[in-house]
Amino acid sequence: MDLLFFSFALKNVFRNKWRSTFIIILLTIGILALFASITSGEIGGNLVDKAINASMNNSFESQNYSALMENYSNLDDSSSLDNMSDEDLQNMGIDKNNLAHMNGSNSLNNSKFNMSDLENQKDEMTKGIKSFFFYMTLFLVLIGSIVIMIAMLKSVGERTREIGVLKSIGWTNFRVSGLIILESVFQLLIAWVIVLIILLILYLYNGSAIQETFVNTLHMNMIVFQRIFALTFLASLFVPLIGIIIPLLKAFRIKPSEAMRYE
Amino acid sequence: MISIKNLTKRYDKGMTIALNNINLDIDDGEFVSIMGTSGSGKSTLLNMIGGLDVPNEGTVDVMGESLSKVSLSKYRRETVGFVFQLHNLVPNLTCVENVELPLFGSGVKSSDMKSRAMNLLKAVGLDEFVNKRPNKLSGGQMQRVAIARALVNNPKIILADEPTGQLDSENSEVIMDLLQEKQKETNAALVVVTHDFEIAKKAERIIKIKDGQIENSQEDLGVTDIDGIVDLEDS
Repeated sequence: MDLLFFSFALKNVFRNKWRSTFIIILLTIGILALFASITSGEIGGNLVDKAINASMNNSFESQNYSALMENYSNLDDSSSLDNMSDEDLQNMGIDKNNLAHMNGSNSLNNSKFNMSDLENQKDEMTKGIKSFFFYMTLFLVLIGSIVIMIAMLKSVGERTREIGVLKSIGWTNFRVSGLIILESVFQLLIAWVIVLIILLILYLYNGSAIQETFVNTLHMNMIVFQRIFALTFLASLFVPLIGIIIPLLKAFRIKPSEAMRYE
Repeated sequence: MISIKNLTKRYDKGMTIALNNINLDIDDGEFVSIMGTSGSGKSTLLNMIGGLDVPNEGTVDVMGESLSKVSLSKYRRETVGFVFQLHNLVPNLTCVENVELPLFGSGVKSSDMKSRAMNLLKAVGLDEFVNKRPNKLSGGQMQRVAIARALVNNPKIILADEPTGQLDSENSEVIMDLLQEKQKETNAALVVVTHDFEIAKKAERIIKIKDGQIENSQEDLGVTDIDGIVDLEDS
């Protein structure tokens, strides 16, 4: 495809008021969607941990419980707290007295049973949170598609004459559609890239309250960032295809001879 | 070159007859003017020749081939060059990019597209404005860019729909001279729709249209043949 074709699409993105408005709206949606993406995978577990900690606070010190949960999850299936020496448990930050307190008994076997129970409870809560954020992300994608559709309908409407001119000088419907799709992909990419840059700056901006929020509270790290980048890049390519179908049909129906009379 | 037979075009579900049984032949390298009042059907006829619209009845044959049997996009891209009344340049693109537009998808290399466009802009006296956007140009300059765009694909037919309609008389003269000059250089057929007799009489033939039909216009225009086609060289 010609370089000029890309240049044409990019220029149209920047010089069209509907597109500018659209990019701003998408930026907002993008930030919300990214929060949803982050929270669904990375923070869900953390939130559940905190919720369980709070509920168990009356039984034992939440700090020790957190340490226990964290270390316990590192054990493989064949491992058992029963098989571990007092010294190992101490190294892991687990206080046998607290375990006994928690279960109302002195038996570590009982504590293991209750740990599994809590693990199941945690899994269920995590699943619930993940599905909530999954549907929230889908909802945001749907909103994004509707925004694209409205913006592109306005844009195609305003450019009826221009599309007519392009057809009159030999552009096929296929080529005109390609231009419109490319413009949508560009504007979504621009919106996403801006969102990602904002997140990256926040991630790299050490020592601030924002960094504290992103890195420590939201557990944002480079691997998560890369995953989000890949997902959002794919979304940039496919989301426009949903929202652009009706505007494309409208562009298809434009007859050059009628477009010339369009004011 | 162009052979139109029994051409009829109706709009509004047949209620409005824009063209009614038109018969016309235009030769290679010929300059023809189409005159008529607003709503007479002259632009519709031009659109039919240019493949912008399709007839309800009759045929338009170009170089021996019926337009109903060819890809109209390809025909417009390879055979026809359009100049419109309102120049219709794409505002987001520079002059040189506007001129390059018809070459998209024609298989011409990017570098060749650019050099062709630059040469044409130079030929129409706009080499200083190649990287300017159309809104920085005057009406006459924009129309010259439109002429360059119409010529970039080396068309066999140049169609101009009131190319001087928005220009003053001085600029109109310049634009028409430029169109004629380029037409002679390329030996393309030039069909100009106008309601300005001063412009029309530059052509070798004037065709007057009234109510969708070619009209006998002897009284207004001088000598005419039986189809109402005036041959100014004989007059």
